[in-house]
Amino acid sequence: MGSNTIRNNPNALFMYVDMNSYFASCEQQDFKELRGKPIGVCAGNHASAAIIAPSIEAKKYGVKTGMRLNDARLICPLIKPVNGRPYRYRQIHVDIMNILKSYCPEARARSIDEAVLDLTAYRWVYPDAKELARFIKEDIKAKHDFLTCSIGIAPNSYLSKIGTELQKPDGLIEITRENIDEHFARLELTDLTGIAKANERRLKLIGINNPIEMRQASPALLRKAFGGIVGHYWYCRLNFMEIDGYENPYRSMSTGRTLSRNQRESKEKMQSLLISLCTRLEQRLVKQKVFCKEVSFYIRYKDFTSWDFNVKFTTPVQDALDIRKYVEHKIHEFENLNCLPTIFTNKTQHFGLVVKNFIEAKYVSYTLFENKMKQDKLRMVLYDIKDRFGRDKVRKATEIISPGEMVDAIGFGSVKDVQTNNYLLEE
Amino acid sequence: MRFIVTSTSLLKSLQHISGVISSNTVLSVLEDFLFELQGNTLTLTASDLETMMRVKMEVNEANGDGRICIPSKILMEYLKNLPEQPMTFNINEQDLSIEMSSSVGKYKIGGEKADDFPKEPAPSDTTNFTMSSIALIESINKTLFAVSNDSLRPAMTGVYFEMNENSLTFVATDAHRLVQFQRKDVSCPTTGGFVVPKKPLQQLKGTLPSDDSQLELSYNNSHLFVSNNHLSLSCRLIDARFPDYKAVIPIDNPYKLTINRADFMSALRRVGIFANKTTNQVVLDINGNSLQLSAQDIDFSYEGKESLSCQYNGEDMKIAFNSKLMVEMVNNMQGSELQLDLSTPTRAGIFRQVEQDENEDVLMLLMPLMVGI
Repeated sequence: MGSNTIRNNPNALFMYVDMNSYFASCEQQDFKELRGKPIGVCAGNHASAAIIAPSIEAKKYGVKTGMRLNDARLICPLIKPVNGRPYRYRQIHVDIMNILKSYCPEARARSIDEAVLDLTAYRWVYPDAKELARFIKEDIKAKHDFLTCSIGIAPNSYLSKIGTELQKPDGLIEITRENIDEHFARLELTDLTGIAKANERRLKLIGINNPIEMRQASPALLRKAFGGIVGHYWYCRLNFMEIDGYENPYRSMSTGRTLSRNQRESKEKMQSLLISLCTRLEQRLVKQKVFCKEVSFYIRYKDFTSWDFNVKFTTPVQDALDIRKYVEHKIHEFENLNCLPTIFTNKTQHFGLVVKNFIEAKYVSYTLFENKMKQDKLRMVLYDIKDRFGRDKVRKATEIISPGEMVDAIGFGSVKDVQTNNYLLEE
Repeated sequence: MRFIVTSTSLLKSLQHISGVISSNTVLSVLEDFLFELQGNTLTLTASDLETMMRVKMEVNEANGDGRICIPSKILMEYLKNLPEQPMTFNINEQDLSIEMSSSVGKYKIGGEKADDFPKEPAPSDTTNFTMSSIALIESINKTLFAVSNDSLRPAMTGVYFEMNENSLTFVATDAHRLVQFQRKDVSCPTTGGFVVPKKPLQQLKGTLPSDDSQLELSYNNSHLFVSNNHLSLSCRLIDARFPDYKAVIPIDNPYKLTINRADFMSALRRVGIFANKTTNQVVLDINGNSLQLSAQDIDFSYEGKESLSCQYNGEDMKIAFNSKLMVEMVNNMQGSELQLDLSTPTRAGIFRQVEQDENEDVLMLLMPLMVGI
């Protein structure tokens, strides 16, 4: 049976590990003076900086992810802003994954601070899953003494994730066929991951008012509520079937940045940032050994207007310079057509790039006129050198206009790159 | 200005030139047809600033010469929904009002000033030659499919016309394949070449008569002009150097494979269905006089194999090509048999027609896919 199918195995067992207030705890781990204090990990420490991750102590005051620093100070005057260090969170992520893989080699990272272990094949090795969970917690503590995690155990990965939400911090909950309704009785619909206000409205419209009613609803009723197969997936999730255990290959890769006031004022800085974004995509494409056949660019302005475009390539592209040429060509076309001096105005708030439509490097055919085989090999070697000796040891001349414009940022979602890119772990 | 014209003949003439009008234009006048009446001759013009196309037609009861721009979209829609009948145009050039009356009703639209319409480029310092309409259509058909859409390589987004004293050669490439089509029945006064964009060639292909009527072709540094008795087209040439295509045509491809064209194409189409959708890779496994086509898509566990007999003179080899590109090329060839000249699995294969018309010579080149064989 492939990993992309619905599995209804009565012996299935999953364990979900969710690190508590991960970024903030990492900071408190490294800087003991921050422990026990309300802190907020921010990108910058100006008044309007958004808090990416509040510590457990700050959460007690009501500080939430995404809150502006000056708003947070109103409810928690002692909150201390801390600049994020993405490389450090990636390093600790790798440590935790190594611990999990030592127990179950199939442990999969679901995000920078979450992982899932399919223990179905290990039931005889670990007859007591709760005991295993306690070992994992101890191992994490031994490596990073301030970090705690909530662990959920259940017959599928979704319910095990719900298990982590039931007890925080440092929780350990097992959801079984026998006790599921007992746990669900304590929850609202919106407590279920994936059910927000809009989905709650849909469910209430057809008479489902709480998680127990949702679990007991027929697949047909849930299909009606969600308007199709999504409803069936919800039926499976809440009835112990595994549908979230698929491994999805990259369909697209994206990178973007929100600009600082300083960056907004300079067209050159924005263009340097564009080069850095292209370079970041190149690095990811090289690491995944793929070329792309399509790139999208988007730019958003402070007045909520935006502009985007999509370019399809006839010849697959991997080089940052090629991606940049296509993007800049399209930008110039747009500027000329609309008689604009530049699209990078001082009203620019955010811009980014998405590459998609991938083709494996080994299937790229070479062209009649420009044989880029040598450049492609050189690019691979370049990234090997960066991996072995550090990312700043060697750079392409095209990326050195102002490489510091792109501040490292952490992706909450995909962490596939962390496993392949050693230099993402560098400071 | 007033004239009477049959609705269907006007629609037909407008359809000849309407393809020139671009869907998103900056100037509103570029969404219009220019109507020019002189005596009983009505000249209709469409332009997108790069290409200008003009068609002439005779009208009845013409009264007063004049010029006006009429919005194309509404006029075409109206004509398409009107059964064949005479219709009268009453045009007031002062207030730019146009009244169209037919037996069933009266319709009014507003036009734009004719003077705002772009001027046709002056055909100065041109070199002229003639060729038959059917020969130009055939040349376009044989090459246009291989033109690239890559805006960063502008030279490849058009067809290269290469003039020689005894021949005219048309070349198109998208960097993965190349088509060279030579007409030996056209003589040009000078040697040289220019690149014509895709759009005007598409227009010519759709509007020129498929007969032996002669066309006047003239060109200068910036424009190409094509005309016959009632139709004329001028277009801006692509201002970029066409790649040195002769350097990439292998001169020594010693292994020759001859095969029935129709059988090869249909087998290729069938096997191609089972190929990976990203690469469309089909492997040609040549073993003596037997050719096996195979394709697979590992992601979906698809696999296809088919064997054909062929005449082969060379070492046994396996070579892979993009089936979609190959089908397009074989489809644009003629004759019952084709010849594939090969050397190694990593070098381009040359496709030729076995039976060539004495006045033409077709050569198509395709780069192989290099791995997974």
